[in-house]
Amino acid sequence: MDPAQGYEDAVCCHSGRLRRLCQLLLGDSQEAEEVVQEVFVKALESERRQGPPVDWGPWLTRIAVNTCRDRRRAGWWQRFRRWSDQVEQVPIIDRGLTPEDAAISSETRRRIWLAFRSLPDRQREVFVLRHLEDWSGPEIADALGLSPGTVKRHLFRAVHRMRVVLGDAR
Amino acid sequence: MSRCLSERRLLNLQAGFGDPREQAHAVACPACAGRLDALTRDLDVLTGVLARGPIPHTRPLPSFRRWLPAAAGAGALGLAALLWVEVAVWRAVTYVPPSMRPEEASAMLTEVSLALFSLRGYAPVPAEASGEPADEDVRVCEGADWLVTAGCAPALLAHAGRVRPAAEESR
Repeated sequence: MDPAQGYEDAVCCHSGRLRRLCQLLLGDSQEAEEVVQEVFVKALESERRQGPPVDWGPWLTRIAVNTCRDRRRAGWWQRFRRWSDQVEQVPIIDRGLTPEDAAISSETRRRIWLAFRSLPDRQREVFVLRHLEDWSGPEIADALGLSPGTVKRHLFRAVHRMRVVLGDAR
Repeated sequence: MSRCLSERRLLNLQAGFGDPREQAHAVACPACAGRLDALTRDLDVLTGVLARGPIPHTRPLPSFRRWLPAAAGAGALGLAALLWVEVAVWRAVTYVPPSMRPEEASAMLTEVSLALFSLRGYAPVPAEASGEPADEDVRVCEGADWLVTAGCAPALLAHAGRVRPAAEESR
């Protein structure tokens, strides 16, 4: 995205992607919506103070991931998730049903989701950014402020765990 | 020694962390290429499931089940507290009269009965106390003494002409 583009363009381009990202990280569409609003408020304040960022995408993503992490760390959030431990019936990405998708049983999907939800926060963030946002490893490391070795370790553990679940479900 | 890439290196390669030499090996080696394809397929399935949704519900525990252990524990504690109060506290503050032996109780009841039903205000003197030998056939039955004195049944007293009417006695 062109850095010269303004705040309104950034909202248009990234709001859907950020909502999807926050929904994956939080597992709750309403919370994701609130976090996205918060991210854009922070972005607007930052833009007025320091000017527009060089690249809106990684910058907004970093704010979104950090905001989701802050919300998960809050005590009320943990209590809320513990007491209402359910995942929503909302499609995250509206795309057609492929034959591979159709072949996957609901039990397998449920297991995959449970495994994903049980990942530690960092592993989940790295997994989502790499495999759902299609970011490269160095980009993830830069966006999350981690070393490449840390990103490799988180990614390997997350993928290994998810593949074990998938292998067991098959 | 095998030069095939480990799972970790394959994943690093797939994530964009691999070096050109590992990439060249993954292309040239059929085993590593197959494993890389398998990894890519698995990741496609995983991302497809996560991206497509709808996300299946996980069944939340009903709230009453969460409270059940706490309620059971509280109930057990309450019961134990009640038992402790009953055993240790209540019995300590409650006066328990000393128990009497059957013969003592019988003697006490006899004295009470004699005092209650004596028409002349004093208890009848036992036969041996008067100095005369006890006569089994002739018993001293005064008034309602038949209530407490063995052998002074009303029928016997009436037969012997010893029972006077209650009205005459009161006069």
